[in-house]
Amino acid sequence: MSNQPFKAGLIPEYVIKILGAFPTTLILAVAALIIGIAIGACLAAASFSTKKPVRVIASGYIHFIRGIPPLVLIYLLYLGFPQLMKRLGVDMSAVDKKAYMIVIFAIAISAGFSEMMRSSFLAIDKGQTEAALSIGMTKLQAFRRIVFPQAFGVALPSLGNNIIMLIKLTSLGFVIGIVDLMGKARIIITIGYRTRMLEVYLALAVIYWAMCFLLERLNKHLVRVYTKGKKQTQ
Amino acid sequence: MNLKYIIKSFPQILSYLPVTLMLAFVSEVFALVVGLVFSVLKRKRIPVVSQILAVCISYFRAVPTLVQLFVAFYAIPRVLTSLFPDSAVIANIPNVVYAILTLGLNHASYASEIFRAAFDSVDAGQTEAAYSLNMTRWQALRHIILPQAFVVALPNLTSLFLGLIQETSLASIVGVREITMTGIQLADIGYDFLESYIMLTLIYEVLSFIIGRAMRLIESRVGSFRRGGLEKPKSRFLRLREKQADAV
Repeated sequence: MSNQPFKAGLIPEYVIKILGAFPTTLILAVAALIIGIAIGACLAAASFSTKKPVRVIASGYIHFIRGIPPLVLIYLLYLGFPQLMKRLGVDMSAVDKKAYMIVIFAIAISAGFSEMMRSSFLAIDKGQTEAALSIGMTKLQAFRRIVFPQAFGVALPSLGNNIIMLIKLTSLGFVIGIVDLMGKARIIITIGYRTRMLEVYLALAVIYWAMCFLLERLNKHLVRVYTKGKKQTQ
Repeated sequence: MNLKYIIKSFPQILSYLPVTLMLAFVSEVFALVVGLVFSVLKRKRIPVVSQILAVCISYFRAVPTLVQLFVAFYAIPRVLTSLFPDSAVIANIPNVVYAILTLGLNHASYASEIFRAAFDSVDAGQTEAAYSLNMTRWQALRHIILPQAFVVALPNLTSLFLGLIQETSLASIVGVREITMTGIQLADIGYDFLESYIMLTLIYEVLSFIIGRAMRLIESRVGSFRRGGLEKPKSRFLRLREKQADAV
């Protein structure tokens, strides 16, 4: 432990330094978001399937992901899974670290996204689909033009929450040596001979705080714009 | 699979399960109490207090738990030393205490939102009716409002608690010796990553399964008054009839 006096004046300097790693966090989050939404959509579709085995697999996957801490999931997939593949004769050491991490994050958030989509589709009255079909729309058209725009409005608030959760989740990337905001902060601490830990972590906290605060505001605004003129359910 | 390793290290990992459970339960109780206080304070709208509270809740919700753990880990000892410069106890405070404080306050800010929503869901007429029966404020809260709000809050509190169990794994990064840290260290000795992390996964999955089930049982018990008493289990014949009716 360092006994250096606390200097709040150093925090802005550290904020700027840490922000150098912002693009990495952004790429991680956006890529994981896109893949996570894709996996989530597949899961949500699977949970509406008429075939029981498909439904069971989807719900099993969701329960599995919900029961495992993200940290353990990262270790399991990043360190454990390549060992398994090696024993099966596949070498995974050439896989890019960042790409691998993106997939792990996507898997970690996919369960939450699938639940979000599922519940928002269930919130749309069945009569909407029936009416669309009755005027001669195909199933795809009914989904794309009638159900999806309504379900999107229902999902928007929890979409914002899920994205904030994802951004917070990316802070775990440092455990496998990814230099995102968290990783950068830890590098700065090491370079400074571990004397300014509190200042650096406070700077890091300020960055995440600002990011999530802005996102929350943006989301609230979007919800207001998107649901303008709609009948409120409450 | 390295069976010898599994047989040797599984009991070792399991021996730290009480630490994980202690972390989770103590933080949860702390979170529930503080969360309730938070939500009550928020309702009162006391000028300065409610603004400070809003900032606190925003901090605990927006910053990753891991960063909060680090901040608490380095900030609290400094604050304490500046308050009591000649105390020898501060340096000996175990990391678990900081972890519990952080996880507890973190979840308290989520719990306060859940409580707020739950209180809002109880109709104002209930309080009025209780007052009209000459109940005191405290009586109305304890006998009329809380039981109803609790039922509404319970499912959300369950998922919050399941999340808390997972977040205890983050405490391993700030040096709390619980199952994740034990698993990581045992794996590092002989590079038995696969076995070690499968064991950890299994422990966490079983833990959340059992607790999820237990909570659902409690939910259906506590919420039974809403349906007018405990439901009798339906006979197979009845269930089949309902299914057929649904199909038609």
